Amino acid sequence: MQSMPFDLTYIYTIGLEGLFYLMLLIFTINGAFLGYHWYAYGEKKSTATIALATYLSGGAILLLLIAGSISLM
Amino acid sequence: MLTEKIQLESDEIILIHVRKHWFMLFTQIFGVFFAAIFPIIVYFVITHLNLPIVITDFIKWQFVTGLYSFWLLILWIALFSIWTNYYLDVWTVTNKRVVAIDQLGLFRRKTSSFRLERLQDITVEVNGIIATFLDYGSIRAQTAGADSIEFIALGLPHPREFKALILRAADETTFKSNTAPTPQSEV
Repeated sequence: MQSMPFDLTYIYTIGLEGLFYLMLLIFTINGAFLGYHWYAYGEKKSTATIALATYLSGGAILLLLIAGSISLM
Repeated sequence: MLTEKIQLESDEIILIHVRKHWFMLFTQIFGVFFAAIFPIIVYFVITHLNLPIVITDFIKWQFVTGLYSFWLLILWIALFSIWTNYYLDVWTVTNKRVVAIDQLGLFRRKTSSFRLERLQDITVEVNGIIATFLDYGSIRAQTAGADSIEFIALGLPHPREFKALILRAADETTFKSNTAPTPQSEV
């Protein structure tokens, strides 16, 4: 089989890395905005804390999955 | 927090905080859930039907996992935005007024209120089978006066009870203001 003139894996690893940092930025900024709204306009501080903890922990798991799959490529 | 933002008067008591019915949240969350499982369905269809698309040889499983995690992260962010809109949309009834807070977006928030003495009419609308069985509907409150304003809340739970509560509070306020001793005019 004839080899490709460029390494495709390298290209999509770079692309995924770029996407990862972009998503990390969006996730962090969005989390800060949401957290502000929950604490400022929410009914209870405990609900805001639980929501923020869930948002951060769920997002962290997904970000770790992304980072793991990029590093294994 | 919410009560600090409303800035209650000294003798004002909150009677109830009402959010939209859980079914309103459920329909939006269901959309996000479907979007989350859709790539899995597509993947199984492609692999089981042996479609002439080269996936296993060309794309690594790490790439698929990474891409799917990206998709899930986008949906995770969307899910919390939906919940925020639901959580911060509140109708608060006090013994003096009704405060309607409408969270239109992350940086779009509309807070309006009317005093119960100004309340002229409340209309409750329950449309459809699901709304009837789950007991949710819309409420339209109209204020009296030259600058008459209509307040609309969609998808509120137990709208008839909510209407009754507002009317009771309005009656009490009107009764109190009518029976309150008027200041003696100086002769």
